[in-house]
Amino acid sequence: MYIAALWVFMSCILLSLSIKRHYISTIAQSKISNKCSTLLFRLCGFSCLTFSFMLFFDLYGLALGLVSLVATFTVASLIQTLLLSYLTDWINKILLVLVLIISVFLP
Amino acid sequence: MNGTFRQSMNWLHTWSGLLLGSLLYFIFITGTAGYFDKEITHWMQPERPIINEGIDQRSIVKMAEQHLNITAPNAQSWWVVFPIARSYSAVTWWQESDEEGGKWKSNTLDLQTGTPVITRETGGGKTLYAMHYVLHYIPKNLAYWITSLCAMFMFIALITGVIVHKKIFKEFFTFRPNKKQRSWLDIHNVFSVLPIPFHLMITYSGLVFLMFSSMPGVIVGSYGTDKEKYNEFVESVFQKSGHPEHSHEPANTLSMLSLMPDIESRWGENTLYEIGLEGRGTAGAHVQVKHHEYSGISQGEELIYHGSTGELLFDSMKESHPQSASKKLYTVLTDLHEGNFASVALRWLYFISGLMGAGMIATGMMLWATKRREKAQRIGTESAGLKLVEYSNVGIIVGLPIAIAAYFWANRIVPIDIENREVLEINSLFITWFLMLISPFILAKKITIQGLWIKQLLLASALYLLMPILNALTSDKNLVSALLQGDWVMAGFDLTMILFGLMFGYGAQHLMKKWKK
Repeated sequence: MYIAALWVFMSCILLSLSIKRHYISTIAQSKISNKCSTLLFRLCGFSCLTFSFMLFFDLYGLALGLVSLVATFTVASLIQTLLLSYLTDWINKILLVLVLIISVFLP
Repeated sequence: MNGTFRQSMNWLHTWSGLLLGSLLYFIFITGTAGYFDKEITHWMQPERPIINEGIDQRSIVKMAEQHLNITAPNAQSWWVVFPIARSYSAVTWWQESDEEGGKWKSNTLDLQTGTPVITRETGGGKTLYAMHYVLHYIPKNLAYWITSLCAMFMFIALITGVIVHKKIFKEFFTFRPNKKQRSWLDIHNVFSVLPIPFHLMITYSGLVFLMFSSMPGVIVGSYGTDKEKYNEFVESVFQKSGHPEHSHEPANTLSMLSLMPDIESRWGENTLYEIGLEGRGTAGAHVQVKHHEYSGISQGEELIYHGSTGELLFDSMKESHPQSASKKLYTVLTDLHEGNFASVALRWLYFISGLMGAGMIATGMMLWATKRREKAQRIGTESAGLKLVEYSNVGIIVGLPIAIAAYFWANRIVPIDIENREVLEINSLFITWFLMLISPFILAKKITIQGLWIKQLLLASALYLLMPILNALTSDKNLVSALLQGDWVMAGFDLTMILFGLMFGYGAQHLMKKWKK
C-alpha cells in the first residue's frame, strides 16, 4: 500500500509540474514554460496515477482500490500544495528520492 | 439572483453555504470524529482492559454464555462481540424480553475472570458520531429532516462551487499565503477541490442514507401511513435470506458454543467479529455469525444456523441476500459513507478528508466575512450582518472544537457514580459551545475580534494539550504506559490530542505575530 501511495505522491508532483505556475516556481528560472515539458509532465503524471491504481486494484480489488486511490490522492495533493506554498525547493529533491525508492521496489 | 449564469451560481453558492454553514460545520466535525468512534469510546472508558494477545474465541463464547445465563436468562437475543479488528474488548449484548421492556443492554467482559468490567457510563464516540445526523435535544425525525436539508444545501454548494471556480485546473495545488482575501479563496479551493470526490460522495450518500425520512412520499404512496405498513416496507427492502420464520412457539435453543467447531471448520480459528442468538427459546431462533474481515467495501462473510437444530441455513460464500439494483446502490453508498471497511491507514485518510470538509466550510464562512470587511473598510461603514457573522465565526469555528474538548474533559471530571453522567457529558459540550458562541458578543467592547480569535485558539490549545495529563491524573492509564503496553488506541488518542493542541497553539501564535505587525 505504501509503495502505491508513493506512486500517487509522485503523480501529484509530476501533475503539479505540468501546471505553468508551479513549473516556473519549481524548475524554470525564466518565466517561460515549454509546451513539450508540460505535456511530458502531464503524461508521466497520469501514467503514474494509472500505475498506482493498478497497484491498488491488485491489492484491494476494484471498489476498495478505487477508494484507496482517491483518498491517497486527496492527502498527497494536499501535501504537494503545502510543499509548493512553503517548501518549493524541496520538491526536486523529494521527486528524486521518490524515484530512487520506487525504482528499488519496482522489480 | 441576476446577471450571467456564473454570477447566479456564485450567488447560490454563497448563500447556500452561508445559511447552513454553522450546522454543516457541526455535522462535518462530529461525523469526522465518528470515523474513530470506537477509539474515542475506548479512551472514554479507561476501565476497559487492554487486550493485546489473541484470545481463543471458543473460550470467550463459553465465558460470555456463562455470564449471559446469569445476567440475562430471559433475554430474547444474546450477542457476543469479540476483541478483534476495531473492537477492543469482548462485549456481551442482550435484548430483554418484551415483558421486561425489550431494551438492549451490554457488558464488557474481563477475559481473565469472565466477570463484567465496571465501566463508567458515557456517551463515548458513539454519541458524538450520532450527533451528525440525530443532532441533539430535538426529535429524531425533525433532526433527519434538518440534516437532509443541510446535505441538500451542501450538495448545491458543491455543484455551484465547481461551476463558479473559473480556474479549477490551473489553480490546482495552489495556495498563496499572506495575500488576504486571495489566500482565503485559495485555501477554500484547496479544501474543496482536492477532496471533491469525498465531498460529493459523503454528501450524496448522506442524502441517500436519510431518504426514507426526507422523501417519505414514495413509501406512503405505496404502503400508506400505517406504522405496520411501514414495517412491512422496511422488511421487504431489507429482507435477508436464511432467517427462519418469526415464531413465539417455545423450543429448546442450542448453545452458541456448540456451533463453534463447525464455524471454525469453515473460516478457521479466531476469525469471528460477532456471534448472536436471536429469538431465544422459540422455534424461530437462529444463530448469526459475522466474519471480522470486510469483502471489499461490503460487509464480510456471514453464516446463519437454525437455533434449535444447528442446521446451516445461510452461507454468504454460496449465496447472497436478494437485492435489487437500487438496493445494491443504496448499500454501496451507505457503506462508502460509513467507511466501516477501512483499515487504519484508510480510516486516517477518511478522517483527514472529513477535516478538509470542515475546513472548506470554515474557510467559506471566513471568506464571506473577509470580502465584506475589505469592502466595509473601503466604504467606511460596516453592516450589522457582517459583525454578526464575524463574531459568530469565532464561536463556531474554534468554539466547537473547544466544546468537544469539554465533552472529553467532562468524561474525566464528572464523578463516576453520578446518575445520568452521560447526559451531563453531552450537556457540558453544548453549554461550552453556547458560551463560546456568546462570549465574542459579550466581550466585543473590551477585546478586538483579533483578540477573541487568539483567546479561543489559546483555550483550545490548552484544553487539547492538557488532555493526556488529564488522562494520567484521572485513570490508571497514561501516554507512556500505553506506549509501553502497546495500547495503541489509548496512546493514539493522546497523541492526536497533542497534535490538535499544537495546531491550535500554532494558529494562535501565527495570529499574534500577524496582528502585531
